[in-house]
Amino acid sequence: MSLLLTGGQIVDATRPEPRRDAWVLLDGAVIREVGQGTPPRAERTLDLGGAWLLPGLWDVHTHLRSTTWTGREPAQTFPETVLEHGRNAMDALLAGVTSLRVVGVAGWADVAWREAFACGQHLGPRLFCCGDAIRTTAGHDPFGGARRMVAADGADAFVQAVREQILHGVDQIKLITTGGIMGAGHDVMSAVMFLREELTAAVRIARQRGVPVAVHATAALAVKWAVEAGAHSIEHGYLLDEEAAALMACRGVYYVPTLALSHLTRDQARTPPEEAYCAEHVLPDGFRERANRFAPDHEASFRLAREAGVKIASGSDQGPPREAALLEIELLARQGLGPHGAIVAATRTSAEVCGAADRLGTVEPGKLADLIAVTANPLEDIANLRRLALVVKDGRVIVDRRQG
Amino acid sequence: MRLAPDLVYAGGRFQPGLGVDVAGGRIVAVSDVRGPIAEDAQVIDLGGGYLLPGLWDVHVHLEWPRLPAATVAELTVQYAANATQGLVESGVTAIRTAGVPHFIDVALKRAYAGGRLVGPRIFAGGWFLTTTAGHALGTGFARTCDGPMGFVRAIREQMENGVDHVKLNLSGGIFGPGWDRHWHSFLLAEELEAAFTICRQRGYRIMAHATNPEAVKTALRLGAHTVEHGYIMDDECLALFRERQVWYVPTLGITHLTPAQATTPQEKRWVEQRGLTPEIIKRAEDAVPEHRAWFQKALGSGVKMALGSDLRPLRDSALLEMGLWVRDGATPWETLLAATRHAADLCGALADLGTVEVGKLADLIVVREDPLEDIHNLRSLQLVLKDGRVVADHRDRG
Repeated sequence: MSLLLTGGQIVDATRPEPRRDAWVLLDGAVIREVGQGTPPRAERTLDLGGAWLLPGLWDVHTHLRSTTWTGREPAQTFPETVLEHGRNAMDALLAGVTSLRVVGVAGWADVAWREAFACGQHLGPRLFCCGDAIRTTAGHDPFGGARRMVAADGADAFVQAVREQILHGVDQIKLITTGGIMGAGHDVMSAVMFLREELTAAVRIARQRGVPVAVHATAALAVKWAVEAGAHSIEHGYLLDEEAAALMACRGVYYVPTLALSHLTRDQARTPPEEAYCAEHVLPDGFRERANRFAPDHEASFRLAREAGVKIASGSDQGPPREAALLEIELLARQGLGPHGAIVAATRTSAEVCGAADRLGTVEPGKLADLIAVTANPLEDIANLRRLALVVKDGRVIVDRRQG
Repeated sequence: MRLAPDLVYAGGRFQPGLGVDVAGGRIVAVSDVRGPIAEDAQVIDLGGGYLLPGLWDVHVHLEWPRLPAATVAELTVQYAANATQGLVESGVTAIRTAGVPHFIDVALKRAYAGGRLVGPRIFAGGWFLTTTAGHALGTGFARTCDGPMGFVRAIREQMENGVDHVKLNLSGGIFGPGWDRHWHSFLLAEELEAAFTICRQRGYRIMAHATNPEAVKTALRLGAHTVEHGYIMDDECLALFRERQVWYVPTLGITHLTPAQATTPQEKRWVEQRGLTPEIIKRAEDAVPEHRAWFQKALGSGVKMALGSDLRPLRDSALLEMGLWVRDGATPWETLLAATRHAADLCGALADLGTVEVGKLADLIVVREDPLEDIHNLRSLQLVLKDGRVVADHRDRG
């Protein structure tokens, strides 16, 4: 069936200038044609009423949690956690986040939901899955307790751990090579926790099997080792140096800075949504102070990466994704990408990170119709992404909040 | 909100001219449909339809289809879809589970109760407790226990994980390997004694799988709350049911739904997709005459009975079982009561659920055709409400 979305402006994520008085013609799940002026005929027409049409938004660094810090001892059983992940993913779609890359959940809950969403058993976003995040013993594990992440030691153990993920149907592999903001005493960001041969072995087997590797790396040395080993994306990178940034740019490695992780504290909140988020999701003081302390380094690293021309994608690492995805996009815009750059990071570049740029991420003929419409110009104020009027996934209208 | 169907199931029959007012999730009035109404009330005019309590199935396993080598996450996602589908597509607003692995039923119950997901009310039993070489091994939902303390420990773990009742196996079944026959009893007397004692002490009800006279009587004498299946019984069993006021859940579908016995299009389609092996078909058909005879004898003899199917998926289960009740001689009215009022009573929820009465939670369905004329008219589902909220509206299907 053909569906015409007409009477709006299109931000297609390929050019900075919006198309005014534009239309998009969908053929089933696919974008057939994009144009301006007099639209063609279609079986069904939907008037955008001057709204701004964009590709659906992405968050390529999520753990599908309801909040970022949930304490060390989870009160939930595993099936309860699985249901919570699913609900958070479904909520994200309703907020216009049409795709997520899940970079570490236990028990392949992400793979189970990916399949259920893909076959229509449940209504949710596209998921790109990493399964369990793999770390070393005494590695970064903000949760511990019953939700401990998979730990491997030695090159062979990493090969086996990677194969175990592949066996369970993951799209990418996630390695955690350094500490993070939310960690115990040994969990420092400056130290590389992997032996170099462990890192090399893990990335080698993953690449051999055609599975890209996302590497959590904060220290510059960890980033360099990861890039040299063949990483596909670097997550966090709080402590980059020029050399690391240049290496990432030269090898075409993606950078997912997760600005939200160091910036969303009540001390740094600058906008009403940030203040509301920080009031609702309270961090323990130790982690809040750690986030505040690393925020300036993080900003400096983000600047180095931009100046070096590193490709940047949007991932929040905060929960729930329906809120966090937008907060991260706003932070990316504010910290230097500007509205259009932030939109590109959260659409086109994020689709590239997930290996889906051939079918998703922009509003162009031939792409799958994952689209949103907002009622005010997001290029003027990125916060206008919150004025959601329409969510379309696979050419199907999921949310319709147009006036009248 | 006022629901204005044509007929409301109240006072033991469908009465014309009534409307049902719902506020705060509960039924606040069942009165003249043309009577005064709050100004801001939303009126749902059903233009002809039969309003009755939501349906129940008190013997449910949530897997469908049975996935080999599925992860717990995959099972969880699949069970969630199955349960929601039962609510939305067939109006099954409450279920009691009879064996679900990993406490997925408890997780779903909590997610539904917390409003995070939409699904039926769940009375959860967790794992199906059986013995080594017991019944239901290989289903994925059985946990084996041996020795009195094996059962006590397993039951305590069930309690710790939030079950509402304990599902206990006493005997064999129709589905199983050659040594798992329904005329055999599996537990030692001291295992049974221990299991019933700990449940009695902690105030948990036992849902007893019992399929032969000896197992049924043992369950009844030890204080089971419900007896499931009862494929073979005797007159003493029925007398004990009455004397102890224990519920009987006959699960007719297990023996009645084979290719040769399927009569309606829905039954035929269901049997086709079920893919039964020749051995199981023979076992089911061999067991049918006696199963049917004891069902018919129990019916109307004063034994408390409620509707539980043991079938899957939930979309089909209660409706198929209700059809079988009527075929075996129950009236549509008896069958409806078994699947609403009696089922709620069995689950200890009659104060809040199971009938269309002022003060009860508004778990309701509306069907287009009269289910008392033909029980299959329950398939003409128009509307499903849970907690006073419309969770499915099928009026556009005509």
